[in-house]
Amino acid sequence: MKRFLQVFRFEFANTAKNKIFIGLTAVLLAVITGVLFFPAVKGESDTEKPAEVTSLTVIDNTQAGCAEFLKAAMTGYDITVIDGDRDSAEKLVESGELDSAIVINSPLEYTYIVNNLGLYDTTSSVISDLLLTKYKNDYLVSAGLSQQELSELNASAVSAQSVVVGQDLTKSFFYTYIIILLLYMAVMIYGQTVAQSIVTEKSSKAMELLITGAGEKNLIFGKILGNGLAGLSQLVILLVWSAVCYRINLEYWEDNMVISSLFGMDAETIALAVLFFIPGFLLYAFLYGAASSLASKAEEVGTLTMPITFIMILAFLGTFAGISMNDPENTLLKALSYVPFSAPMAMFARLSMNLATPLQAAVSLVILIASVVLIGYAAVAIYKIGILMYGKPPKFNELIRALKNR
Amino acid sequence: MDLSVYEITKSFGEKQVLNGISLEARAGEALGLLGRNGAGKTTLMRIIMGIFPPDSGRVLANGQPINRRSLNIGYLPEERGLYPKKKVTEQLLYFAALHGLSKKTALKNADALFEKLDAAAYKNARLETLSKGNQQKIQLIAALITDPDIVILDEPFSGLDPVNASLFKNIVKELIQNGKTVFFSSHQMNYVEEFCDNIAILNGGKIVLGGNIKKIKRSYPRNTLLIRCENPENLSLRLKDALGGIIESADAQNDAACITLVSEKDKKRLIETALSFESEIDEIKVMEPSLNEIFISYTEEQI
Repeated sequence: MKRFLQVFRFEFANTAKNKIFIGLTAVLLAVITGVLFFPAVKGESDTEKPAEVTSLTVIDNTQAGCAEFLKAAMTGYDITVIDGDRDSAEKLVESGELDSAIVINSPLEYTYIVNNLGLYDTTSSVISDLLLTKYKNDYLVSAGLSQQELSELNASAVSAQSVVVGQDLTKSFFYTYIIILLLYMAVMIYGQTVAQSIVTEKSSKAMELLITGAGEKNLIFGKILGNGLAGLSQLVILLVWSAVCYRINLEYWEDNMVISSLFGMDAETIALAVLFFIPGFLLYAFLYGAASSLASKAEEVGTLTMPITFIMILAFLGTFAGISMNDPENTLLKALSYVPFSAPMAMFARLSMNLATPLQAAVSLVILIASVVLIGYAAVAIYKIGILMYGKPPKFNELIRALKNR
Repeated sequence: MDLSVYEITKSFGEKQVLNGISLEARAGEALGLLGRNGAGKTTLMRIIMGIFPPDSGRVLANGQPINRRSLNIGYLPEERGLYPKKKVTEQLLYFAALHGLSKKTALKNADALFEKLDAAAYKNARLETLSKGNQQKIQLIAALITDPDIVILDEPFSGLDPVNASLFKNIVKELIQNGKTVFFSSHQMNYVEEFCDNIAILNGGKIVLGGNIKKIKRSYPRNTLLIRCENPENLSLRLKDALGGIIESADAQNDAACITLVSEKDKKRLIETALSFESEIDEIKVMEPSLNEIFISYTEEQI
């Protein structure tokens, strides 16, 4: 135990004192601060800017007062009425004298001439709606409706209200997604830190002295937990700082559904995330540790850990696909929530969206923890063999044979 | 602390590396482990260190099964290895702590070793910035920082310049004087002869020759004499003429006449005759085989 603590402390300090690690934390803190304070800074400069006015030129060939109707109805636009036809308008737009032009040929037909049509250009649909309204109004008036009846008709509206009786999935979806993404990134980054640190000791041949001093179990557990705690501390620092920044800028973010739902998470959800994160991290860290102990050089780590990274990506994509499906109670998500490699993400997702019972969560957690113990045991066995095996990484069947001969 | 191994066997896969090795090293003595590359020296040392267990056989300390937790063994591995990016003292303290040393004792021991090895200037340097020889000094400090009773040195002198080699030699001599048990492997036979009372030559997973170096040398035929004098050619010719019947061969090597007798018993007669022929004799000695020659004769054919 004493030796484990020594390795643990050394590994924790090793990562926490690492300049790159500290630098990355500082950069992330700066980014978080920048993003969360952005609306406050931007808000002040925004108020001085006048609202933008789009200018629009209209050629009305109908004699039905369409241009006047548009001028009155389109308040955000600066409308100029000129004489001409489609050809002359096209030339004006082409030469750049006008940005755009509307040529109305009949009450229900017009041409919108524009140099470059933007993706978000709504002018055309606004004009279509207005011309249709005017046409209907004229028709109704000619059919004998009085002006008062007409305005009453136009003022009528449908009032609608949706009542969510169960869980509001739109809200929990965002924070669930963000937590899963965080989980995924953390496991990936810290798992690879463990892998790098193991191969460094092996390739620098410090291993022989370490084994005789500390023993393999203390080494691998100390390394994984030491690095894990360093990573967890980094996450906690980042999340606490984000929460502080959010509180300070609460007024700007309250209306943002994604951000406010993330920081509005209840303690229970946070506890669940941590509960599934820790075994999830350990599971992958053991796999990364075992795989990297077979590498003799840092360059080989990538190849050896690729299958693990691949599993991790599949688990993440599967979970993401599962929570994005129309039916949140789909079989994919349910199945993934029991597979240990994806359970930390998938079961957490189901829990945070209130789609799983406590019993289901407990079953998933038991499977996960049992897998961690099993994989941990196998990882220590592989690590014991791997760290003293120099040269080419062993093939899978060679490894199995070595494990049997142990 | 006496350390002995009995009937150690070890194989990796199909390859039998050690095949029944037994040897003993006593406190205050150095045991030289000799063998060609791949003879199994490092494997034997790793088994003694407990890096991996033997397939069969026992490692005993003072006649009892070794308990590596209560016993400090200093180890200088052949594959030198420390953390390249860490500061020297920082990692020495870590290794010492893993062996149960307090920080205070570790610092005290380290300082004494830094002093002896003339390496105090590198205390706070990152390891990778040091030269190979200086890195090896730090490696030796890591092996000795716990003040171990048993010291295992795998090729301690490889790659050292003569000045550093002499610093290392002094340390090894001091270890032996202080009653430590030293296991030692080297391809440089002069070092082995200098420190070791006993040797074990490994070949094919077995000890092909073991025991006290002096006794081993005495066990070789002692019928060749070297007589150093001013005119060795003349002396060897005259001896051959006078004692033809008892002399197998006689010739001159550098500054000495080299006379091989048919029988050892005639040594006295040869010496008396030589003294009567030549008044200016500087030295007469029985020619012994060098450790190098013994080593080659036992390991030339790899079993």
